[in-house]
Amino acid sequence: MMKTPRETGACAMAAIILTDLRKDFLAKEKEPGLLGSMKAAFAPHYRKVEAVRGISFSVDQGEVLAFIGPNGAGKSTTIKMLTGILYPSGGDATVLGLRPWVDRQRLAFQIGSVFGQKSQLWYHLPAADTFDLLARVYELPTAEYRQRRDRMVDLFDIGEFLKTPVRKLSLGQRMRCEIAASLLHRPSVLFLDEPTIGLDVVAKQQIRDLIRAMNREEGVTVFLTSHDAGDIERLCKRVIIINHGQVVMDAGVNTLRHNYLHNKVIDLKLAAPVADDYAFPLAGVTVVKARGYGLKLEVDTAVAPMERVLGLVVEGLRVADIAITDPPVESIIKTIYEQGVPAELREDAAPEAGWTESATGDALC
Amino acid sequence: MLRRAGKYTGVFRITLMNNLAYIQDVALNSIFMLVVIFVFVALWKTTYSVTGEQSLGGFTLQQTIWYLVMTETITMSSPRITTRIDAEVKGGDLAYSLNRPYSYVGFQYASFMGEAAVRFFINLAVGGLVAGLSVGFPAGGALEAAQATASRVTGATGAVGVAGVAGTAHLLAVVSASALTILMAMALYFTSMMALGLLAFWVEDATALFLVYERSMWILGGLLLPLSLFPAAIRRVAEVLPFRFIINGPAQLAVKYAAGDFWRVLAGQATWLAVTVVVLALVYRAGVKRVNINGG
Repeated sequence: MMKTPRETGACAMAAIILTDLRKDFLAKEKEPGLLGSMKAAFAPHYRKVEAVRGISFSVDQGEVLAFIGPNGAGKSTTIKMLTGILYPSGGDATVLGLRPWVDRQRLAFQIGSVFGQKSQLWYHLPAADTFDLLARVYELPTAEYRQRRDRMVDLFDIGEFLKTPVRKLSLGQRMRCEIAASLLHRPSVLFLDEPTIGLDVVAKQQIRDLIRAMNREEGVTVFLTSHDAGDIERLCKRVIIINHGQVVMDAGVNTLRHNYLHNKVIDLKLAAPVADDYAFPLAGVTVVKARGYGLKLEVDTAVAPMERVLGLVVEGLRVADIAITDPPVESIIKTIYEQGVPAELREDAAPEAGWTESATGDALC
Repeated sequence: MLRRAGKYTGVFRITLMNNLAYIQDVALNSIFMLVVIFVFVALWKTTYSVTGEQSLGGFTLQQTIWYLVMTETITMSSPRITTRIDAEVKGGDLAYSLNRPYSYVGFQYASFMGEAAVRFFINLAVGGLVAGLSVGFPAGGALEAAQATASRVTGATGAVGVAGVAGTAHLLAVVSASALTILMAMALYFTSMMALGLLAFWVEDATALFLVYERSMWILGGLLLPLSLFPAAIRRVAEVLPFRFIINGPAQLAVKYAAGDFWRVLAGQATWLAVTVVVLALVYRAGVKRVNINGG
C-alpha cells in the first residue's frame, strides 16, 4: 500500500509534496494503411495513456533529489506538473506550499527550471541580454540584479563569453549560461531536466560542480532528472526511480551505488590489434567486445577494484586511448528489474537513514 | 505597476534587438515588397491609362499605389503568430513561457510587436521608395490639398503661408491617425491570430485555419483593392467584418485622411478588438488546461 506524504508525516520542511499525483493523456490511435487513415478521420479512436499513475513522495528543503527513469517513464510530465505547466488528472502536489497549476505565477518567482533540450536564451543575442530581460521579468531591483549577475558570472565563469551571441557558444558554455539564468532570481527550488545531456565529460563535471555549489551555498533544493548515472552518483544523496508512471524505488544513492552502481565500462582503443577471443586476466571483468583495435570491458568494482584493473590494462595492452563511463540509467533499471528490488529499497518500505528522516520522521519536523 | 509594464517593454526591446541582429535577412525578405509594388505600379498605370479616368473608386493613381504600399506593409510586417504558437504548443517550447511570472499572451504580444516594428519600417521604406519614384510622394499631395482649402478660405493672397501651417497640421493628423489605427490593426491581427494559434490545444494542426483566415483577410480586407472598388454586395459584407479594420481602414486613412473616417475606423477597431480579446481570453483559459507538451 503506497503511503502519502501526510501518512508518512511529511512536515513543514518539505519543499515539494506529491500526493497520489496522476496525469492521463488521450493519444489518438490509427490503424495502418489508407483505410485506417479514413476511419481515423471520421471516427477517431483515442487511447488513454496513464503517464503518471498516482505517485507520492516529498522532497526536503535543501535536498538534491535524482528523479530518474527510462524514456516515457513520466519524469518530465511530473516536472511539468510541479512547475505548473501541466494540470494533473488527479491527486495533489504543492511546491513551497503553493499548488503549481493554480498559483503558477506566484510560484514562478520562487522556482527556477532548466530543460536541457530547450533553451531560454535568445539565440541571436548574447546571454547578457537574456539576463537583463529576466531581471525585468522577475522584477529584480537594478542594484540587486547587477550584484547577483556579477556573482553568477564569477561562479559560473561565463564572463568571457557573456557578450557573445548564444548561437556561437559551445553546448557546455550555453548550459552554464542557462543554469546561471535560472538562478538569477534566487529560486528556492531548481528543476533540472537533463541538464548534462549532450555534454562532454569536462563540461558535465563543471555543471555538476556548479549545481553542488549552489545547493551548498544557497541551500537550493534541486530536483534533477537525468539519464546519466554520473549525475546521480556525484550530485544526489537520494534517488527515486520511476517507470511506467509509478515509483519503483526510493532510496539513498549510497544504497543504489552499493547495489547497482558498482559496474563501470572501460572503452579502450589499442595501438595493436586484440584477439577476438581475448579474456581479461581478472575475475569481475567481462569482455563485452574485442575486435581489431577496440576493446570494451565491463568491470564489477565490488569484485575487481578499478585500480587493479587499470594496472593490468596498462601492463598487458598497448593503450592508445581510454574512456571510463558509468552504465546508462536504463541498464541500472534493467538490472533492478532482473534482480528485483530488495524489500528494504521498495518505495513503500521504511526509508533509508539520512535523507528520509527529515522527510518522514517527526523528530525533525 | 511600472515593474509589471517593464516586463513587456523588456520583451519588446529584446525581440527588437533579436530582429536587428539579423537585419540583413529581414531586409532581404523585403525584396518581395519591391517586386510586388513594382508590379502594382505597372498594372495600375495601365488601368488608369486604358480607362482614361483620373480617379477610380475615389482614388487617384498615386493614392491607389500608396494605398497598396500601406496594405502590403501592414500584412507583410505582421509576424505569423499562429504558426509560432502552433509550433510552441506542439514542440514544447511553451514550457519556458508558461512558468514565468508574466502573462503568456502579454509576452507573445510584446514579442510580436518587437518583430513587427523592425519589419514595418523596412517594408515601408522599400515599398515607399518604389512607389515614390514611380508616382510621387504623397506628402506633396497633402500639401496641395491643404493649399487648395486655404485658397478657398483666404483668397489667393496669403494662401501659401496659411497653406504651410494647414499642410503641416494636416500631415500631423494623417501621421498620428495612421500610427494609431495601424497599432490598433496590429493588436486586432494579433488577438485573432493568437486565438487561432491556441486552437492547436484542440486540433492537431492549426495552420489550415490560419490559412483560411489569412486569405479571407487578404481578400475581404482590401489588400489588393480599395473596398470602394468592390462590387456593392461584397463591399457591404466586407465593411462589417474585422478584416477591413486590419488592412483597408488604416491604409485608406494614410492616403485619404478624413476626420470622420478616422473615428469610424477607430470605433470599428475598438469594437472588434473587444470581441477578439474576449475570445482570446476564453480560448487561452480553456486551452492552457489542455496543455500536452510533447516529450512529457
